[in-house]
Amino acid sequence: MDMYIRVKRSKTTYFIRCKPSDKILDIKQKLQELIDQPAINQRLILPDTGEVLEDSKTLADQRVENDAVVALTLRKDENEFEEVNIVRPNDFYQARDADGANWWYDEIHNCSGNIFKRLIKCRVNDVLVCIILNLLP
Amino acid sequence: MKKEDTVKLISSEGFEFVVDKEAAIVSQTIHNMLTSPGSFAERQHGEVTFPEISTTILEKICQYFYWHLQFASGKETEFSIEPELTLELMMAANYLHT
Repeated sequence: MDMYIRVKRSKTTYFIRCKPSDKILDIKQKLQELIDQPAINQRLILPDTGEVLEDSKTLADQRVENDAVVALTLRKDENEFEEVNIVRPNDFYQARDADGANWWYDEIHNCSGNIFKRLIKCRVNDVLVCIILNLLP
Repeated sequence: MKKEDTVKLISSEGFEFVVDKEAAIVSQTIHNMLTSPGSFAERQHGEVTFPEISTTILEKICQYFYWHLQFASGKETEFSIEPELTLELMMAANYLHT
């Protein structure tokens, strides 16, 4: 496989394997298999720009690259499609207890070296694990 | 691409990721769930729920599955991981044998 894209609608993401030379209609036909909606009822949109992708053009034509996110909207009636709706998770920085692990971050700024060090401590199965990451700005 | 050739992975928050089975079985744990004879419900429904894996982590894992397939076929690119995801990814990767 050459590449894949992530097609998102609401809380669902479809990973679609494809090639840069695939047309948008090809993508819709693959999606048709997964979502039981004919290509004519699908609209694919670049969520950042709102640009609607054209069936007859290729992914490369429309600068859709590997791992890109594309929004899927479905037809509501003869003349109208749904609005883009991609639900975003809010779990990114939340601490959580999983498998009894508790963790926190300490950031240490080393002025002389201008290096951020991110120190991660966690307890997994009663073993204290320390991980030091160096991030060079 | 047929529905039967895909599996739906569901995060702790109920977000769904529909991926190729060929990609998902990069995880030995998922491979076992989908191929062991008879018993797992996951095999029949083509869905696997991970109550302890958050959405952001599960999506990163799915991206890794596809990166792994690309890398194995000779496309050598870097797989980037945000530092704040590192710890949870390690725990999830351990569980998934990935």
